[in-house]
Amino acid sequence: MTTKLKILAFSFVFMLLTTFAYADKPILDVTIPTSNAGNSWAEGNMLSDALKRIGYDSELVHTRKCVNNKNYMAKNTGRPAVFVRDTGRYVVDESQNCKIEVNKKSFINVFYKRHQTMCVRADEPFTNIADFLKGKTRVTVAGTHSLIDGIYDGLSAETGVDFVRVDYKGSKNIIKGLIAGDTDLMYSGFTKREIGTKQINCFTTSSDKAIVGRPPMSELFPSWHLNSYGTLKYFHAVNIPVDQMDKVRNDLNNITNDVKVKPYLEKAFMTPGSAIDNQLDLFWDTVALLTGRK
Amino acid sequence: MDDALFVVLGTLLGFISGIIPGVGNTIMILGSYPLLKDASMLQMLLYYVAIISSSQFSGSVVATVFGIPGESSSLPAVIEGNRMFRRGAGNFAISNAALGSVLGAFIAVVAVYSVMPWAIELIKRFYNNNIQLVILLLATTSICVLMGKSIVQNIFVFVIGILLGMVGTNFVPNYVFLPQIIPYETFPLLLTDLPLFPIIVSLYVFPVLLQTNAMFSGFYSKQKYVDNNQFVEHLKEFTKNISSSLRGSVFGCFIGLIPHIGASVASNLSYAIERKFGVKHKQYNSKGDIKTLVAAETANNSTGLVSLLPLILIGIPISASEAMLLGYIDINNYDINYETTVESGMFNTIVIWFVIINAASFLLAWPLVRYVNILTKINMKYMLWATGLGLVALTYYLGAKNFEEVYHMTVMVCLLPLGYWLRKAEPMILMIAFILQDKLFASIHMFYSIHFG
Repeated sequence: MTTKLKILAFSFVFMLLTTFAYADKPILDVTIPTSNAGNSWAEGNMLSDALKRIGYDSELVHTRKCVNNKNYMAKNTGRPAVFVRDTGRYVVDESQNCKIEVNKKSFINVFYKRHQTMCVRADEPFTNIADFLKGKTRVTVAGTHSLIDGIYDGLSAETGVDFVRVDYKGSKNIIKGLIAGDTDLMYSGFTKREIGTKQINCFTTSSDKAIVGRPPMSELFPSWHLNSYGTLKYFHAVNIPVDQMDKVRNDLNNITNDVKVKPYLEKAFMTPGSAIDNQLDLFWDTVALLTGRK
Repeated sequence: MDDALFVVLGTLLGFISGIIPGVGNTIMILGSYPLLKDASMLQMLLYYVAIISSSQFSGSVVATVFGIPGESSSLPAVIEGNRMFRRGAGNFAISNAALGSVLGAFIAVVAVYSVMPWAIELIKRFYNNNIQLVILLLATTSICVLMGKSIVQNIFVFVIGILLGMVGTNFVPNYVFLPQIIPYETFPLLLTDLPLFPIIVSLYVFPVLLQTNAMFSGFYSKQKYVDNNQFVEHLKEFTKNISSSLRGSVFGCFIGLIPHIGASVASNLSYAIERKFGVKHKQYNSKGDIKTLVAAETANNSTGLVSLLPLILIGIPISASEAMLLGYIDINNYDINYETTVESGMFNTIVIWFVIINAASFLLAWPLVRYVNILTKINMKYMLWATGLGLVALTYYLGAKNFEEVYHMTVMVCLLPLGYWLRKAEPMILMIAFILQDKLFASIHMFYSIHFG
């Protein structure tokens, strides 16, 4: 046998072996329709790694934006995937005509529910919300641009103080705006960043009970309709064959127990999807709350 | 190790960008997108610093030998360097410009470290949206006033850049631009903004290539570069001109902060003052004056690091190439400010590399300069258009990576007529307006919300 033939035979056997090694692994990619930086990207990587740990052949697909993501979903890539999106993004995408329908078939399950928080600068002589608002006729609130119109109308009506929204692009800039003194208050998701930034004091959350001394928003602003609103992050099916759906649904429901995912959720006091009943109903309730249809 | 790779590539490509007049750093950075798209912010900044530093060395060689300015800051090298070259002293023009550039770079490092603590303290205490808005307005107004020949034309070009930047979905304030006029339903990708790369190819690269192509018409050089002198002789010559070099450095360090034209003003002003000084003391050589050349080239290189400060500290670019770099930083969602660059220690790494790059560029340029005669045999027009075609191919490739190749190519082709018109204007103004549009509008909107909302 010549050397060339030997190389050819070896390559063939190697190819065959590697093909079989992957053949029995189910495929489940994770697509991220946002930027490749920040929380979503980090979460995508974490999920893809977690899927690999439970035996999937998983890659991270970066589609950057809703329209690209829609195009990607329309293509038959031969690789089933999930894309991870939150309710706020769903509402914004819909309002901008990028509709990716959520229904019983496409909705897999909730990844987590994250509380919202309100923070002031740490050097603010803050004891309670009444003292903070005392004497004020106007409070500027830093938030992301994707918040719904009239979000603080209820707060203004309840307190008699005009809550003025100041929009920032991206949640990381909200904290900067507050620290720089642009605004008096910030309203944002309750994440590791909000908890760990020493220059700010996050004094309440949208949880139904106090979190490490932070009273629930429902106590501070009992009649504000968003006082218990929290962001839902959910998994959306992309070209997953019907016969694999139950397994995928079950695996993603349990992924919140993964060695890396579990502490990630716990650190920011997030509620794992596995602990939430009637997830699709909760999704629609949250969307209705955000769009003002509720 | 990865960082070093970006430095090496940036240094080599910077040399090439200096050699091809008109291509310049901005187009080289544009063409580097595939390399930079997955790079870390440190790698992007190192690559940028390497390009702007090394291109100074090769750029002044080409300006001296060919008499064609790569950028407006090379004009003194074209006047004095080329005159020296024609009288057979081109070797001293090139060596002294290079030595001056190295000295200028080192002095810039000292200047930057001297002002850094003060600048950061100032930012920490006072920098908020109001200040940012003032800086953005100053930066954008200054390009309309300081550049080009006609302010009215500049404003017109600026407005076009802003309008193009507004197409699609704007986030702060949150709105879709002209939904009744722009056919978003038919072309939904328009909702996601016009893509940066095709815009720059059509509206910056194309007109700049046309402008540069016109400069080469009728160009021919018979003179050959010869250097029979030892390094020590070049060094001795430089020591005679060191006071000019030091004066140039001071100008470069201060004037480098003027938006968009810092390097050009520093270089030309140093040249003008040194020339006046020389004429007054009857030292100026009308057949090519080495002191004025050294002062201008040193000033030019001093601005390199200084002009980076606004971008590094507060994320505001003051030149076209910095605007491009910021575009890449934004695409990757990196946050550029004093916390992520200076307080994280990244800036120290950049400065260390800046010193190494300048020293290495000098050492690299020295043996390579003897091969400069080869350039006279190359048809520069072909080089220019090959660069252009390469960027068109890159536009297609980058579009295809995001399943948007048709969209990218369509945008590029549709804007080419506008690019053709821009050859008679300042395309850099349009590009800066396009890139800064969202920051400017967000800042104005926030200012309104905070004070009047």
